[in-house]
Amino acid sequence: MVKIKKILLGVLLLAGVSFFLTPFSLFAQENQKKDVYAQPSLSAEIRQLRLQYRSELAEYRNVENLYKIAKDQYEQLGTLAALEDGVQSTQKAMVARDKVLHTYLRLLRLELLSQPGIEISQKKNAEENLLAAVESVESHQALLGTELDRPGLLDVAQKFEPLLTQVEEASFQTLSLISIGSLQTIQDKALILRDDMEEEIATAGGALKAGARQRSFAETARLLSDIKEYFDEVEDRYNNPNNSGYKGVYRSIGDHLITIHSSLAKALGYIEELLKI
Amino acid sequence: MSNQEFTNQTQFIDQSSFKQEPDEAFVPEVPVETQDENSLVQKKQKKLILFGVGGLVSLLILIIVFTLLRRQSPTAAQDEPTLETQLTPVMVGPFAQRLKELQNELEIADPQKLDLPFPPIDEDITLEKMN
Repeated sequence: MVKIKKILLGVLLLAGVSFFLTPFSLFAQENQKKDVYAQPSLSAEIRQLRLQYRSELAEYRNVENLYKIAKDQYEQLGTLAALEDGVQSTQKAMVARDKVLHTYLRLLRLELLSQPGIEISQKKNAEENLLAAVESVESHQALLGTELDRPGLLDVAQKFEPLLTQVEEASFQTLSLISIGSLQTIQDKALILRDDMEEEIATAGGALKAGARQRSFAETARLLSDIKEYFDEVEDRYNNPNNSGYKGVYRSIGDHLITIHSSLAKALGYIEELLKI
Repeated sequence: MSNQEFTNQTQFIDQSSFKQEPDEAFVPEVPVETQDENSLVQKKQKKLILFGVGGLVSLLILIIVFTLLRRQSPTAAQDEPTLETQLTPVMVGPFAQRLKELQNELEIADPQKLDLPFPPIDEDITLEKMN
């Protein structure tokens, strides 16, 4: 009887200990995962801002629809009640639009900061432009802080035009840099991978395949270095924006970026083949 | 004896009935019933303890199975697939692993699949008639 009691006590103790240790072991495992993934510092903030941006964009769409309906009503009826409804809906749509732009600019800034493969001076310049645009949006938001009448709304609408130009410029400058930077990073990593592989694999194995391997490595290196020409072209366009500004730059480098992307895909295909030789 | 007992014609009058209570003089001093009760209680206790131990062991097994399942499903804690969750682990290990990571990154960096396009906003929100 005493023995059974002891066994029972032991099992109870074991169950209790394992029950309390299980969450700790899981927690430790999740921490390990977090350590493995790169760039953990900004990703949480980016994720949160993305969610905020999506929700604000959805709200803006809703308010924009209401504004359009109210405007149509006012144009058709022309009554004071319709005017009041139109004024209120217009102001709400303007507020929601500024919110969307504000969050979008903040999100772009974080994306820019977390993107490797961009020259620090270029990154800094783009960040400054983004912050200036954020400030301008905040000033515009302040104008909408009080209830406005029809002439007041017209004034705010007119002030939005230069603001949009500034926001677009800062945004497309950053979008260009992020696109270039992400592809540049892949090219750099692909070159390092190819070199590492050449060091370890090219000289290994039988003599029969050695020649073929070296030719394949050389071809892969050629393809990867050929991409540099496109990068130079893109860089040149970015550094010398024409009259259409960074919006124009972003549109004009699109084709080159697609070419770079497909060349990189081809190079990675070569590397995959090299691994099987 | 009641009248009912005389109805049994197979029984003699002086024959003692099986149902008859045993003589008190022959009843042992140590009651048999209490001994039986004790053993019954012990058996019940043993059964209870066995059930308890069995229950706890099965609980332990459940906890272990649950822990193993949690370890085998790495995506359990992830809510929705976003760009961040698609980020590949830091490059370590063999070449094939590094190549796979690069291919993933290239897929994300596709310029034709714009991740954060400029917000689709109406730039002419005004109550005035547009020209």
